[in-house]
Amino acid sequence: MPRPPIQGAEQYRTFIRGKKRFLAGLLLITAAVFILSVMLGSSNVPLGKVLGVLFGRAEGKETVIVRNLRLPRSATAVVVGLGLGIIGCVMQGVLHNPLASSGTVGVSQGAAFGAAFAIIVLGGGSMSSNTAGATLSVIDPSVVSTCAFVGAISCTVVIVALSRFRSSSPGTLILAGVALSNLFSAATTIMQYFADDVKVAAVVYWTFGNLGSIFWKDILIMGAAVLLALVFFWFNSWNYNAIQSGEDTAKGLGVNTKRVTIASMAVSAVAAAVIVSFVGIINFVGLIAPHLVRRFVGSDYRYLIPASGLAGACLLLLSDTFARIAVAPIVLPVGAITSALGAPLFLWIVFKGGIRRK
Amino acid sequence: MIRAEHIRFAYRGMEAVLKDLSMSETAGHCLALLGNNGAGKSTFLKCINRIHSQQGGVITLEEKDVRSLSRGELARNMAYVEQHTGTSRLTVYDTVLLGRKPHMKLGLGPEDYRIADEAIARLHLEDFQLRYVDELSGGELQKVVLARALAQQPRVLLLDEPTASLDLYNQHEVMRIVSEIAREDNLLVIVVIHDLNLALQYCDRFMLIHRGGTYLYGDSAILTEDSIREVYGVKAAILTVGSRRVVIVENEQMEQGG
Repeated sequence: MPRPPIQGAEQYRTFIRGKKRFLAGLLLITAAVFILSVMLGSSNVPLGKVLGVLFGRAEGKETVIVRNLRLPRSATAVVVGLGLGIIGCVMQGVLHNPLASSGTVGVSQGAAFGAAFAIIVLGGGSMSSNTAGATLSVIDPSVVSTCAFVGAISCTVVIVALSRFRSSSPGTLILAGVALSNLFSAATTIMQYFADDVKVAAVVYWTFGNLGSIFWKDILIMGAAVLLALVFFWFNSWNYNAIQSGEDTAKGLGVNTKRVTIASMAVSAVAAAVIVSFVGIINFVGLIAPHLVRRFVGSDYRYLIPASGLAGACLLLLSDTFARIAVAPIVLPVGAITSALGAPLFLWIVFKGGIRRK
Repeated sequence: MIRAEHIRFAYRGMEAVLKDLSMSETAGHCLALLGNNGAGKSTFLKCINRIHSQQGGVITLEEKDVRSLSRGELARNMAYVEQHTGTSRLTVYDTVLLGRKPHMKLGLGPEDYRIADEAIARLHLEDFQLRYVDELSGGELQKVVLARALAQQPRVLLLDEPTASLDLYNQHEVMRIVSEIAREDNLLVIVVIHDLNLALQYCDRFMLIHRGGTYLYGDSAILTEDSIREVYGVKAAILTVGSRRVVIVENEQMEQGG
């Protein structure tokens, strides 16, 4: 028998509409920042031209800049920022740790090790055969990406396997992550110690993070990984809501906490490894994005996940734009800029009391 | 409805907490699990809900071994409220909706909202249904998690010390609602509780757990001066006030001193 609408649910729906409006607002801001980032650079492109290119009706010299340089770069920033944001959000949730991000499971150090291996060990072979000036261009970027991906994944696999020895509690995972990350970074340091200056410089440059030199097919691969992760996370959003109320409570609500945790970590690690293998190490975005939006949408993962993604995209777009225009025409390393801009922002959140553990 | 036979459970590398515990209870009752700290009351509750898996014995729900049921099936039949409920940045309404998790397919339907509304009305949470649960007082939070458990529409309600850290008013309020639920909804409530007088007032079945096993099990008559002394190690007197029995603990040290 149909009942009259009850006030409780109505009031709740109004409240939820507020969160949806926040998400829509964030989407608009991201779009605006995206267009701004395409306009600004060592030479500025007027808004009309940018929109013209976006809607496929423009000609002239500037369209080449926009189409071939600015658009892929800004699109990369959106995909990478979105990916790091949602991964950080989910990792902080399943590990019950406000400091978790993709780096926690060793993705960063593992990828750095893989890249260093490719540049120093594999790249060495190709360089010795090239006597006409040993430049970095002889190293195939896809080899570096592949090695970085393998490094990131193997580091994560070892961490998860180690933590399963006794139990897969969040604490053991984080501790195993710290230990393994240090091991991998030690291995990278030793490799660098025996390498020549040019290769060391190449490794260091790779770890800076770089959103340029990304092709559309790379963006598609990263986009697919991020999209798959987003869909997986979205289907698990009620599981994450249950897990934040405590492990036993979540089990009582029918959630297989161990499976959800391990699967979420695996999906996060793969997506993060794909991202990092293309763009290098980009700090802080995954850590800070969830905290930035949590005060507006709470910890309801249905809204926290997309909001963290959009906040991550905004942060990275802004950081990259700043990196390009601050001392133009020199482009600053974006990984350093995210940390430089992120640290004060993070401190501000901490001292405003905005950090919530769950 | 729930039957446990010769349950044995030990935490990894430790001496067994539960050595031989058996019980059998039907719907409509409120069973109090009584005993000292570390007697294994909470552990037993977690074995029923398969948060722990016992090493010996079998627990059945409607003649089905709980270990043969999936987590989802268990959650559709049993609701569990843990002792220290974790708080989160979810609203009261979100938290109550979480009780619909085991019934959810892809998302929430109108039926889920109706059931959440009923649970909220039953525990009188309407006034703060949009507040975040990490801002609530202990008494409010306890009612919220009870509402979440009700939204699960369980047949068995497992409560681990629901009145711990509540003030006098809220202790009675929560236990009154719990005993009312057991009777009106024909649920089986199994509650771990330390306050014998609260147990005597609101529960109709009692189990004294001592040294990992069932010491005494039955109606309120099992609570005697002797059994209380044996299980808790305190000297108590049981008075009858009107139709009610009240436990008064005597302070032996003071007696000896005076």
